[in-house]
Amino acid sequence: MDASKLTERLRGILKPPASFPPSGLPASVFGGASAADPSPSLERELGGVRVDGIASCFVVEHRVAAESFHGDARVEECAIQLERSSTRASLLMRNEPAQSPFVFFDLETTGLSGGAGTYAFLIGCGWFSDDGSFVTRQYFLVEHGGERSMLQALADQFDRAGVLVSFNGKSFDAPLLETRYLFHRLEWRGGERPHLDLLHPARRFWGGAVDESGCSLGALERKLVRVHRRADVPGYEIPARYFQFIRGGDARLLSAVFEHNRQDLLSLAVLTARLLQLVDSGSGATADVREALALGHVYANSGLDGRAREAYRRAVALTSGTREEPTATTLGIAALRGSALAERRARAYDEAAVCWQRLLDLPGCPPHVAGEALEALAIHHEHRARDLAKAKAFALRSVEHESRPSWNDAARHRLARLDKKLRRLNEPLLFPFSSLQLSFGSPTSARRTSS
Amino acid sequence: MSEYALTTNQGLATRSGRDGALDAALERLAPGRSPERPDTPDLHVTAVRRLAPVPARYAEFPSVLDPRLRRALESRGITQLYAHQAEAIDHALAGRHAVIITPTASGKTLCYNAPILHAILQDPSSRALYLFPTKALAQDQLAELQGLCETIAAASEDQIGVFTYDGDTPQDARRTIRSRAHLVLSNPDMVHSGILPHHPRWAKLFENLKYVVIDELHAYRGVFGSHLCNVLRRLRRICRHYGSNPVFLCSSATIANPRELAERLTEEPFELVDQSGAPRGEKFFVFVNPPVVNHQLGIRRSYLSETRRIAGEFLKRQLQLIVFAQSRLSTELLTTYLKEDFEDTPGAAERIRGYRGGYLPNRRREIEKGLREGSVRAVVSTNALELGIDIGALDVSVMAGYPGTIAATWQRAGRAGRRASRSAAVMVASSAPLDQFIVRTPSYFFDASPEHALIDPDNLHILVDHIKCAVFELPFSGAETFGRHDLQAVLRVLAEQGLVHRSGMSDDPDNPSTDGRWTWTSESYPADAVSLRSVSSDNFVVVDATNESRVIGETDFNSGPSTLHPKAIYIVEGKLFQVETFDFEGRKAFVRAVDCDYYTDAITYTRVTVLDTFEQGSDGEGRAHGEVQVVSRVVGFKKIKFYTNENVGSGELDLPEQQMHTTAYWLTIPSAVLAQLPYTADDRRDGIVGLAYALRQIAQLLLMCDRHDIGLSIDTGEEAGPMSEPHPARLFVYDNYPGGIGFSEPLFRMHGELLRATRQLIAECTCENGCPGCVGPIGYTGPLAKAAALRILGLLLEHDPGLALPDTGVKDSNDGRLEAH
Repeated sequence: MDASKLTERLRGILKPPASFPPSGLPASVFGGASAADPSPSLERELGGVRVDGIASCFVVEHRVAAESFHGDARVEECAIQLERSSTRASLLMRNEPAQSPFVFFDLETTGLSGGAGTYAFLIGCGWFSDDGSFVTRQYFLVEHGGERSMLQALADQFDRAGVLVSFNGKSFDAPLLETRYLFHRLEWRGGERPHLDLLHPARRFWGGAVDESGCSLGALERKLVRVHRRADVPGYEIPARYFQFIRGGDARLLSAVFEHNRQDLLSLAVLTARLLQLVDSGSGATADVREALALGHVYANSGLDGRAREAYRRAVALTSGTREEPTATTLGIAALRGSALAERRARAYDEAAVCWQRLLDLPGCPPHVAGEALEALAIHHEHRARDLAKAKAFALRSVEHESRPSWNDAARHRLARLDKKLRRLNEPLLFPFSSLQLSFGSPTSARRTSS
Repeated sequence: MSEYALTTNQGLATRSGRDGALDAALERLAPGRSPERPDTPDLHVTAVRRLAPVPARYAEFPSVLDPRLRRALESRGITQLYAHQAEAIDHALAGRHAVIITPTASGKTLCYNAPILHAILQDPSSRALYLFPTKALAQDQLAELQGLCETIAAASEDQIGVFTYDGDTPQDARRTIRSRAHLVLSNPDMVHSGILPHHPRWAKLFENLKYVVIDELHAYRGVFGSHLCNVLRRLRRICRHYGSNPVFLCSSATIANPRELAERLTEEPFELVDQSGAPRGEKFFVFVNPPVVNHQLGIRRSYLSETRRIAGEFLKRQLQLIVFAQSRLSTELLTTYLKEDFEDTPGAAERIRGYRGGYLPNRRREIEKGLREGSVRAVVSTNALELGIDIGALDVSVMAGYPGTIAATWQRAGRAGRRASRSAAVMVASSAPLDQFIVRTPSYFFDASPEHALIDPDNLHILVDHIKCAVFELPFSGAETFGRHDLQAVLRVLAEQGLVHRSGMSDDPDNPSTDGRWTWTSESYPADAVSLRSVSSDNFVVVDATNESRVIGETDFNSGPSTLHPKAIYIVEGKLFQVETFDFEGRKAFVRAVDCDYYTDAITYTRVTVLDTFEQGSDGEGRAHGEVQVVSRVVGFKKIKFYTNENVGSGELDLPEQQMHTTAYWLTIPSAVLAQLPYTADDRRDGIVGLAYALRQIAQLLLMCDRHDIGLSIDTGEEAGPMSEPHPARLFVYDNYPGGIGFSEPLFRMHGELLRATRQLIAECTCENGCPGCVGPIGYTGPLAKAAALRILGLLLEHDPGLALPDTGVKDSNDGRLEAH
C-alpha cells in the first residue's frame, strides 16, 4: 500500500477525538503558537532557568515572603509552627521518625491511568527557608528526552528531605514517580524516606468540614484557610495545555499551570502546619467533635493512652454540649465508643462502663455497637464489678441480640458459665434457666424463657 | 435400561476385559462387520478406521541437564524421555525456537518445563513467561509446575517461584509476584493490558527473560492470532529495550501449518518437532450418520438421541467416556438424558457429570479429579475440555456433531486413548451441511491434511491499536519499524489526531538517542480500548429495562443491528428478552423480559462493491480476490418457532446502513454459463442461491473458521438490465471483520477444491430437491435449486482450464466421489 493511500485509510479508521484541539482553552494562547525555539518565551513567561545547560529540563524557583499571607495564614507562622512541632509528624506516619526539613511535593502529570506512557511533566517541591519564607522549586519537562536529567536533579532534592509531604502521594504521586525512575533504570530512593500523605489525616480531621466536592485540597484550603484562588486552571485541563505546548504552543499556556502547582504546594504546607499544631497542643485546641475524635485516634495509635483518653473525653464533652446527644449520630457513637475503649485501656473500668451504658441508652444505637457494649458490660460485671446477676442480664440480652453465629456462640458460652457460677453461689437454683436448655435452645426459645 | 451395572473404579475392568467390552460395544454400532472396513457413505455407520498401536520411542536425558532437575524428575517416576521430548529439549537448550506437535497426553509440558527449570537452576536470575489462551489452563499447569518445583526444593533447597498472573490475581499479591516469580503463568490479554504497559515494574522479568512458552498455539488463529502477533511484537520490543532475547517454545494440536503459524506469530524461524515418541494403544474411529426419517425433506433422526444411545452402549459396559456437545444447551440435555437412562443404577447420578464454562471453578476441579481417579464414569462437555486440562486418559470419546475442524476433531478424539489398551472415538453427525459432508466423505477427514491456521497481523485496524499501545510503552525512534506497513506514516497520522508527538532534536548529551522520538501525548491508556478477541472495540450494550435498568450483555458493532433491532428476541442464559428501543447512535438497546415461543432471525441485505482486485484467475477462471466495500442493511426479520423452526411471522425494519471495508474472494459465473442452463431466470437464481449456500459451508470448512468469521453476498447482476438476458453473477465470500483477517487469499488459492467439494456436497446428498444439508431447506430456495446448482458447478468445472489440474489433496474421480491420493 503506498503512503498516501495508507494515510487516507488510517484517517478513516482513526476517528478524530471529540474535540481537538481541546475546547475550553483560551483561543488566544493557541493562536499564538510558534514553531520557533520556545526557550526564550519559556524563560520570559515562567521566570525560570535551564538546569546545568540542559535544555529539556527547566527549573523555576519562587519565594513567598515570610510576612505575606496565604488566605488567613501568615507564612512565617506556619514555618515556625512546623519547626516547633516537626517531630510530632511521626504520630501521623505510624511512628516513622520525623525531622526537618519538610519537603512538600506535588506532580502535574499527562494522565491519571499510570503505566509506562503516563509521566510527570511538572514536579513541584516546596519548603520553608530559615527566614520564614516559602520557597518552591518546579522541575519542568520541556520535552520527553529530558526526563532522565529531571529525575536525577529531583533525587538530590528528595534526598535532603527529613519528611516528604504530599496530598494523596502514597497512592498516586510516589508510585508514578517510582515507575518513571524504573523506566530510566534509576534508583528510586523516595520510597525509603518518611512520607506524610496528608490526605488520610485530613479526611479524618476535616472530612466533615468540606462540601460534597469531597476532601480535595481545594475544598480544604477554602474551608480552613479561606483561600480563594483567582483564575485557577481546572485540573482536567492541565494535560491538554501541556500537550499543546510541546506541539509548539505558547508558553503562556503553562504559566497558570505553574501557578496552580505553587498554590497547591503552599496550601499543603499551611494545612500540614495546622495539623501538626493540633497534634502538638492536644485536645484543648480542638474545635469540634470530629477533630477531637481524630486526635484521640492518632494518640491511641501511637500508644499515647493518656492523651488519647483526654481527647476522647473532649469529644464526648463536645457531643454533649450540642444537640447531638439524644440522637445516635455517627460522631456521637464514635466518641462514646472511643472513650470507652480508651478508658478501658487506661484501666478506668468504671468510666468505661459508664460510656458503654450511655451507648446502649442511645436511641437508634446501631446493632453491632450495641452488641459490643452488651458484651463489654457483661464482662465488666462478671470480672470487674463482680455483680453476677447484672452480668447475666447483659449476657442474656447479648444472646438475644447477636445474630452472627460465632459471636452468638461466645455469648451463650458466657451465659452458661455465669449460670454455673450463680448456681454454685445460690443453691438452690433461683433462676428458671438451665445452662443445658440454653446451650441447646435457639435464640427464640431463649427469649421466650426469659420473658 | 442397564443390563450391566455401572461400577466404580474398584470394579474397573481389567485390560483384556476392557478391550472385550469395547469390542462388544463397537459390535452394537456396526454389527456383523470387522472393525475396519471400506467407507460406506449410505449406511448408518459410514466409516470405521483402525489406528494401529504405536510403541514408545525413548531417548536419554541430555547430559547437560541439571542433575537437581534430573533427580526431581526421577523421583517423580520419569527415568527416561520420549524421543520428541529429548528433541524439543535439545532445541530449547541450544536456544532455538521450537514448535512441538504432539497428541494429547504425550508429555508435551515436559518439553518446555525441563529446559526452563534447567535454565533457572543454572542461573536463578532467569525468568520465563508462559502464555495460555485461558485462565483455567494456567491454573491447571500451575499445580503441575508447583509440584515439580517442590520436589526440586525438597532435595536441593533451590526455591523456584511459580505464579499465575491474570485478572484474578489480587492487587496486593501483584508486587510480590513481580519480584519473586521465576515462572509467570499468564494469558495474552493480561500481557497486553496488565504487563506490557507497566513494563518498568516488570524490569526484572524482561531483563532476564530466557523463554516464552505459547501453549495451545492453534488457538491463535483469525482475530485472536492477529492480535497475539502484535502483542508479541510489543513484547519483543520491550525485551530488546531491556537487552533480552527470549527463546519461544510453542505447543500445538495438529494443524496443517504449525511451523508457519509459529513463525508468523513470533516473526522468528522455528524448528518443528512433530514425531511423537509416546506410545499409543490401538484405537478405532467410527463415523455415524443418524438414519434418514423423511427422505423428501431430508430429515434425519436427531443426532442427540443417537449420541445418547451410543454413549449408553459404552457406559453400560463399564467403559469410561467423554461426550462432546456443541453448545451449553446440548451439554445439559445430554447430561440429563444419560442420567435418566441410568437412574436405576445406584450412584449413577454422581458418576455421570456435565462440564462447561459457567460452572464454578471448584466444581470443575472436582469433576476433573473424578475423571482422573475413575470415580466419574462419564462426562458430557462443551469444548471446555478440548484444550489441555488434565483429566487423564479415557476409553471412549463420543462427539455429538462434527466439531467444525479436523484439528478440533482429532483433539477431542485424543481425549480417549490409553497407552496399553484399546480406545475408540465416535463422531455422530448432525444434519448441518458441514457434518453431512464430513460423515459422507470420511477420506476427506482421515486422509487430507488438517486445516491451516490463518492470521493477518497487519490488518490496519488491529495494527494501529497495537502501535498506540507500543508507543505508550516506549517511545518510537524515527527509524523503527513495526509490522508490514510504514510505521512512520502511521505515526504521522496518529500525530494529526494528537495522540503522539515527535519531539525535536534533543541536546541532552547523555541521551542522543532521544532525537526525534515519538512519544504518547494523550491522557488515555490505550490498551484499555483494545480487546484481543475482537477487531473493533465499538459495541452495543444491552440494557434490561424490565425493572431497574441494568446492562445484561453487549454485542460487537457489526452484528448489533441484526441481533438488537426493534422487536428482536435477545436470549441470554435461556432467558428471553424483547428489544423495545434500539438506539443506534447511542449504541444501546433497551430490552424487556418476555415469555414467547419464538426467536427472531434478521433479514439483511448486503451489497458488495469491489474497490481493488488484488489477483484474478486467467481467462475462463472465475476466481478473484481483493478489497471490497460491504454495505449491509437489516430490512426485516422473521419469527421462528422454537423446536419446530416454523416461520410464524415477520416484520419490516428501517435501520441505518453499515459500511465495512474488508477483503473478499469472489466467484464469477459468466453469462455464457447461465445461458446454457435450460431454466427460467427464477430457477437460475435459485440455483445460484443454493450453490452459494453450500459454497459458504465448504469455505468455512476449508478456512478452519467460525461461522461468524465470513459473510456471503450474491450479486445476480439483475439490477443491471432486463431479466431475459442472463447477466454474469458474482458470489462474494468476505472476511466479516473490518480490514479483513486473511481468509480471502487462501480461499482464492483453494478455488478448485472449493468448487469440487461444493459439488460433491450437493451431489452426494440423498435428499430430492434440497435440504438443510446441501443447498438449503425447502422454502429457502425453489424446487429446482439443487439441480440448477449442480449444473452450474458442472459447467464451471468443465469450462475452467485452471480446474483441470488438481491442486489439492483431493481430485474428482469418474463417479464424482472424492478419493485420496
